[in-house]
Order: sequence, then structure tokens, then C-alpha cells
Amino acid sequence: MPDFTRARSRVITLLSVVLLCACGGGSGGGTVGGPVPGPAMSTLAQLGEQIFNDASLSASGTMSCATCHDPDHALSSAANEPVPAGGAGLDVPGFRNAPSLRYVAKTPTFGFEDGAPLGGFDRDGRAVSLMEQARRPFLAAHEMANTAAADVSDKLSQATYATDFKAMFGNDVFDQPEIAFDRALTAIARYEAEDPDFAPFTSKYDYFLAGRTQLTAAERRGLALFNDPLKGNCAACHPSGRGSNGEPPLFTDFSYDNLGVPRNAAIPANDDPTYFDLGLCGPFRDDLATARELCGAFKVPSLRNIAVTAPYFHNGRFATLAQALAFYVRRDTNPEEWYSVDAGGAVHKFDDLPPQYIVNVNTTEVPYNRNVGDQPALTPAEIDDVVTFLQTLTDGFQL
Amino acid sequence: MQRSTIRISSLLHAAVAIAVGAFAAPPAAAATQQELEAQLAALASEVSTLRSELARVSQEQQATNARAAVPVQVLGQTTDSATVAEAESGLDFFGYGQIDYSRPKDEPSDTTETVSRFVVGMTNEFDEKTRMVSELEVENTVSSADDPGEVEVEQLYIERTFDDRLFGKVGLFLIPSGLLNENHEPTRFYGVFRNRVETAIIPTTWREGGMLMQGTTEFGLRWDAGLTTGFDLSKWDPTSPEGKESPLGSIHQELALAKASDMSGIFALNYTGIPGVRLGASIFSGDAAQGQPGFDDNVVTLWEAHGTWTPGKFEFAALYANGHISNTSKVNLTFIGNPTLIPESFYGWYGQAAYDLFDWDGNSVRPFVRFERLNTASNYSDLSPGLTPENGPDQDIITGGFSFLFAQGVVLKADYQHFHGIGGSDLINFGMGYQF
Amino acid sequence: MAEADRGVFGLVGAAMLMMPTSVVVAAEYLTIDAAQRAIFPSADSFEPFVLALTGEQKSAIVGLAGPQPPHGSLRVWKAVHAGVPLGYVLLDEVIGRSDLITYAIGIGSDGALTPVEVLAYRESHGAEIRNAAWRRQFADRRDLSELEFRIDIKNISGATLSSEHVTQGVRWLLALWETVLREPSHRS
Repeated sequence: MPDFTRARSRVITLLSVVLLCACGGGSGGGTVGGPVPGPAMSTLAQLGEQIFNDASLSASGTMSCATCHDPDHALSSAANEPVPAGGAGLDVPGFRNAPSLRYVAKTPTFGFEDGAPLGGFDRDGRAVSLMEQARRPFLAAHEMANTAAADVSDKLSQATYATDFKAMFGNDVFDQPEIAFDRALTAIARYEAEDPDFAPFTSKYDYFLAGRTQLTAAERRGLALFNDPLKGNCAACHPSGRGSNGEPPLFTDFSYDNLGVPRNAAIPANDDPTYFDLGLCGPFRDDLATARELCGAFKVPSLRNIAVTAPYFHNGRFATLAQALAFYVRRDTNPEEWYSVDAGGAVHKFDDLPPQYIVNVNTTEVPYNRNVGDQPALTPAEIDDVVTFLQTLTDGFQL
Repeated sequence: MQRSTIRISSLLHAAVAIAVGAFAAPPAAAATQQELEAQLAALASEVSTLRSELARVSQEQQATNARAAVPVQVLGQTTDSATVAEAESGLDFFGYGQIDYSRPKDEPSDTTETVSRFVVGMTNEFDEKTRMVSELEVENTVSSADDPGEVEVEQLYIERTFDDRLFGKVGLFLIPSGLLNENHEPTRFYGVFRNRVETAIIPTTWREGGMLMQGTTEFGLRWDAGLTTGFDLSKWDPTSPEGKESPLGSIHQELALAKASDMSGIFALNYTGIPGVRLGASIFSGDAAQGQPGFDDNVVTLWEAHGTWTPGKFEFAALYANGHISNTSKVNLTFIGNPTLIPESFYGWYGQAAYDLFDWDGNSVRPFVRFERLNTASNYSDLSPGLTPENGPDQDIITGGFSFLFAQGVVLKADYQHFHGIGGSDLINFGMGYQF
Repeated sequence: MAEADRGVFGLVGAAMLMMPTSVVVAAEYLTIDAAQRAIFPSADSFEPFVLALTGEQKSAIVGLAGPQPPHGSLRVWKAVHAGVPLGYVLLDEVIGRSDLITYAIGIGSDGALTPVEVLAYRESHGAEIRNAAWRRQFADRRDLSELEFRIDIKNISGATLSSEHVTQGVRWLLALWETVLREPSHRS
């Protein structure tokens, strides 16, 4: 039974995306079939690019935004660890998998549509703007670990581009550290919105949608399974169709879902059995703490470049796409493959949620609507086909 | 008239003869004075008779001429003086409209009533052979950015009468396809709403811009041939359900900044040589790619065949329509992931029967029943296993109701509709319509 | 001036006044002459006939005939062959869809109708009424009860308005004939 809320919010999302494309698209995005050569980035954005790549802005002196959002790695982390480590000595472990920043400017503002949460930056949508999302890592103890705005401002004033910074914002900008930090974040946000590399649309699938290339048989099979509401049903949250004006699909509807992803023992915080990362209702945002039904829900990410942005899910639990897909279709038919089993042999299903929130897990939509002993929605061969298709979503395809 | 003329000329002859005779008497005869006077007296009395006859006849003549010179307008004044005025100025108005009420049996909260259309038509005769016809339509009562209505120019063309049986049109006009498109006024069809086959398959009211020649033959054949604008396949929206409701309706241009790099042709034949029977068919074909990027050689073809038969008080009608769009795979591949891809073919047919149950003084009550079947996506061109969409469902619609026609142009209608194949509640409909 | 001259003057004047002073119909398909000849081929003359109806007569005719479309001009001729009246030719105009249709029909002395002749049809919509087969439906009918539209005179699907209006017009002409023309000697 299709979830109409999702379908409706998907339509609204696409509409919002169109609007945001108009506002934040700038050059190099929004048309299927490749980047449109646009005007060079504004001076502000160029400054933002330098700040983005400046490792001196961290406590360790070796971590910049680009460290976890690597331009050579589809702006996600090149490391294979589930969560990056930061801090002054690069030894403070993080909590969540660093998401790819590709296409991030297309995210709609956080809000509720028909009672369902939508949009927002970060995996729990807590940042309302690109600027706000960029602020937190500078000051987070497990990331760039600056102590305060003054700290950042101080480092900015000694950067190689400090002269350009003063030229843009005034010679006395560093006399007010809060403002200097703010300006730096503005520059980063501009860079993320204007740089064509943040929204290239140069994947094989984009060229296919533009009619400039063909998909192989395996890729077509995978696409069919991806779209089929009775098989993978992936397109229900990761829409794969062009918009009504021809806009290329972003493979996310920016909605939120609770999949009951298994607990990742590799995250040090999980050593504490009372620690739970509950996404929308905490612990990193507190404005929705009373919305119990949202506990455990995380934002649906874009699947663009998914083949190169391992590991997967908010806790980086799965290292390969095949594993992630196998989890989707065998979560309910073979829970013992995924969750901890207690001494008596009983499966502790949805072990990354406190017992009172297990009811929030999505068990009604295909492919999660199975029971133990049922056939999974996809066979291993079909999983391979879907993986083959997902590989067409990687930008940088050469025609 | 001729009798009087003969009279005059015979009198004249008589007069001349007398006059000549009077002067041509043989000189040898020695007429006495008395004989001469007697002849003169006779002459005078003859002339007097002639004069009075002539006067009477010419009076009679003039009176008759006076009456004959003025055409007798016996009925013209009783209907409308506007008719007289129109004949002098060449300007005339016509119009039609309908208000519909529709109540879904299972969803009473969706009951709607609206002015479905209000059409004002204006024609102007420039001369005996050249006229302009125009129609302006308002749909759904109020048209604005926040309101559901629309205003459109439905027709605007110049028509020229060429000779005995040939007409030509240039401008925006109705396509001669099907039974309803050219005769879509509410008094011309049965049922509150137009039948679905001639709404979803033949996109009534279907009009295009271009040129059309129409001819009739003595034995009852009417032919139409024209070159017009066509459809624009780049208007297809794969995210919207509109294409599933009416494929051609979702890509028609209505001559509103229509893309016209590819024109289309229409050819229709209708035979009405047997009184009470009409048989006809038409075919419309043209490229809908319009040179737009990503579209190539997408020819839309719509053909249909229809017949009507009115034996006695019965009235039967049947129609079959079939549409085809070529080369859709290439475009459909780029629409993958969306709900509405372009079908390769679509069709519909219906059969209808009506009966003139009560008929008095030009008013009539006519019950009718109609069965329709249509499929707006009966086949999709092959994409790839698993990617080719499933064919659309056959939709069956059965409609039964009646029309009450009165006053030479007004109709009240009521009907009940049952839908099968795409779900949807049964509908109870009432309508009012007029045409003048 | 001699009486003879006045007679000549009267003759010429009468001849001029006999010609129609206003063109009622620009007969595009059939001239009036051709229509008259088609209706009564054996007639050797057509005498223009003047009608002046009283209000009473007019309502009686419409009462017999039934609902009527707007009419245009009416002209009547008496068809004569060798001094014997054959019947009447009636030329009438009715609105088709938006424009006037000029048509004519003959009613014999015995009251039988001839086929309808269409002299001018000014719009393309409904031009099918010019079909010979449709026009022939009227032939030999004698009574209004034989002129029911859709039953006796079939409509033309697609030209319903025109076929209905011409049929109503013919009904009116027959009612007119029955009311004021039936006795051949009657004239104003």
C-alpha cells in the first residue's frame, strides 16, 4: 500500500527543489546532460573555496572542511572508517558518517509537510542553512575543535588569503571575531552554492536521461528493480525520474525514515549501552525531543555518487552497497544476519533503538514488509543488478 | 400584367388604325358634310372610350407594380427585428452555454456545480461570399490566477464561399473529427457531460489553426481537407496524471503561441446521401516533435469512423477512434522513474441509443443509454524488460438518462453514470444547456 | 400629347415597373428562374403573386405549422401552363445556423409538394441540406401530418439545425397554402 504522505511530500519536495535551484543554483547545475559552463565564481565564493580547503583553521592544523568532504571523493570522506576522528590530536572519535556535500545546496529548508518532516541540513536536519551547517564543525570538539569564534578569527587573520578577506570585509574585520567568523561562513556557503563541482550532473545516468548514452542491459534491469514498487521500491524515497520541467532527479525526496539500522560497534560512543543516536529527536538536536514518533528517523540522503561514498547509513554500518541492499531486503526475513543475538539465541532486532522506539521503525513499505521465512524482495542476482545501476550515478562519466 | 399589356397594345393599334383610317379615306368618295360630322362624332366617342380605358388600365397597372415591387415580409417582424437589422449590417451573434451539477454517489463531499462553459459567438458577413466566425468561451465561471476558470478563443476564422459546392476556411477552426467535435453544443449531445471517448481520445473541443477546404456533392458526400497546426509532444509532463486521462488533451496547443514548425493534415469524409443515415471517417496526422530537443519524428495519427441512424423515433450512434504516436521509446527512456510515460497507442469506442418518447409542439423528452469503452494507454513501445510500463486499463462507462428539449434551443438533462476499470464513484448528474 | 403617346408611355413605364426593384436574393447556386423551372418544368409562365396577410391569418398559419425559426423574405409565384394553373412556387428564407438559407418549393394544385430547391446557402456548417436525397424527401407529401421532422423528414446528423429549420419553413409554407392559397381563384 503506497504511502501517500511520502508521495505528496515528494511532489512538494520537487517543487521546492525547483525553487531552490532558481535561488541557489548558480552556474553549472540544473540541466540534464552535463554542467552548463557558467560565469566564473564570485570573489566571495572564491574566498570561500580557500577557507574550505584551509587546514590551518583547525586545532590540529591538519583538518579542513575538505578533509571529510574530499573533492576527489564526491565531497565525502575518503577514509573507510564509519566515523571520522578529529580534535587537536585527531584522536577524538565522531558520532556519525560524514555525508557527501554534493548537491547539498538543493536541500529545502527544514519543515513539516502534511505532518511529515522534510529537508534541513545535516543528517537530522538541524541546520537551517548552509551557513549554519558550516559553523558547527569549526567548533565541535570531535571535528576542527576550535574553542570559540575568536579562535577561528585569529587563524583567519593569519591565513594566506587574509589580505583578500580584509579587502572584501573591511580592514578591521578581525577586530570583531564573531563577525569575522560569520563572514567566513558566508563565503563557504557561497562557494558551496556556486562551485560547479558541487552539482555537476555528469553521471552516466544524467547522460542517459539526456538521451546521449544508453544503459547496459544489467543497468536497465537494475533501474527497473529500483523503480518497481513491488521489488526494490527504492524510487519511493529516492525518486529517479526527471522533474516536470526536465530537471534531473536528485534521488532523494528529503524526507525522513527510520530503518532500524543495526548498531555499529565500531563507533566508540556505542560502547555505552545507554547511548542512542536518535536522529530527529536527539541527541544533537533538541527541539523535537518530545516528538516520540520521530525518534530514530534520519534524513533520506541523495544516492548520487553512492558508489564512491562508502560506508553507508548515518552510522556507517555497511561498507559495501551490496551489504546495504541485502540489509534492505533481508532485514525482516533474516534478522539474525544483521542484529545481535543474545545468549538464548533470540535476535535483538533493531538493537540501535531503545525498546520504546522500536515501534517507529518502517515495517510497512516495500521491501520492509516481509516476515521471517518470506522471500526477500530481491534475489542476490537482482541485488547485483541494482548495484550495477547505482554505479551509473557517479559523476564524472566520460561519454 | 400581360393581359393589361395586350390590352394597351390592342387599343393602341385600334387607335392608330382609326387615326390612319381617318386620314387614309379614299379621295374619290365624295363624303357629304353630314357623313363627315357623323364619322367625327364616332371618332370622338371612340377616343373618349379609349382614354377612359387607358386611364383605368394604367391605374390598375401602377397599383399592381407598387405591390409587386416590395418584397412581402410576412413573418420577419414577428420573430425579431434584429433579423432585419442583421441582414443590413452583416453582424450576427450566436451562443451556447451549460451549467452542470455532478454528485459522486460514494463521495458526496466532492459534489460540484459549475458553469461548465459560456460561449459567445459573433459572425460578420463582409459580403455575400465572405464571412468571419468567432467564438469566445469562458469555462468554470471565474477565470483569474486564483480561480479555476479559463477564457479562450475557441474559433476565429474567415470563410469564403467559392462556387457551387466549395467552401474554404482560414484561421482557427474545429477539426472535422468524430460526431461531437463540430456539434458540441449542449442541445446536440446526450448526457450532461460529453462522452469520454470524444473527450479523452478525440480531444473535443479540438481546434487547430490553418486552412481547410470543404466541399459537398449532389449525391450526399461531404469532404474536408486541410493543413493545420498539430500537437506538441514536448508538452508531455511525465510527472502529471494528465497524460493518462487524455493523451492528446495533454499535448494540444489550442493555437496559443503554438509551435508550428511541423504542420498536420486532416482529411474527412461524411456521407449523408441516405436520409436518416450518416457515415463518416476522418484521419489526422502530423509530427508532434516540433523540432524540440530530445524529440524526433514523433508522428501523431488519430483516425476515427462513425455512424448515426435515425429510424422513426429512435436515434442510434456509434463511433470508434484510434490514436498512435510513433517513436516514443527514445523520449520515454528519459522519463523513466515517473508515473506517466507516453503511450504508443490509445483507442475508444461507444454505442448510443436514444428514443423520442414524448414530442409535442417542438418540445421533446428523450431517454438515452450509452456504453463506452476506452483505453488511454493500450500499448507502450518496448523499452526494456521491467522498464516498459504496463498497459493502461480498459475503462468502461455506462450512462443512462434523458434530455428534455424545449423552446427551440433549451435543454434540461439528467443522467447516471457508472465507471468500471479505473475505479471512481458512480455519478448522478444534472445539467442545463442552451444554444441559439 | 395624343392618347396613343400616353399609351406608349404607359406601356414602357409598366414594363420598367415590372422588374424587381430590390434584389432579395443573390442566388448563388440557382437563379430564381432555374429554381422555378426545376419545380414546375412544364410551366410556361410564372406570375408573381402578392400576398397581404391579416394578423389573424398569420397566427392561424403558425398555429398549424408549429415552432418557426427566424424567416427572411417570402416571394410567391403562380405557375401556369397554357392558361391552366399548375400550382404555386414559394420562395422563402430561414436561418440555418447563423445565416439565411434561401430555398424554394412547389405546391401543386392538388396540394402535393415538390422537392426542395436550395438557391443560396451562405455558411459551410450544415451545407449538407443541399443533398438531393434529403431534398427529395418532401416530394409528393400533401399534409402537415406527413412533415414531422425526424420521423418523416430525417435530420442530417451534423446539419441538424439547418435541416430542422428548413423543414419548419416548409411546414409553414404548406400551412400558408392551406390557409390562403388553396382556392386557385383567390388573390388580392
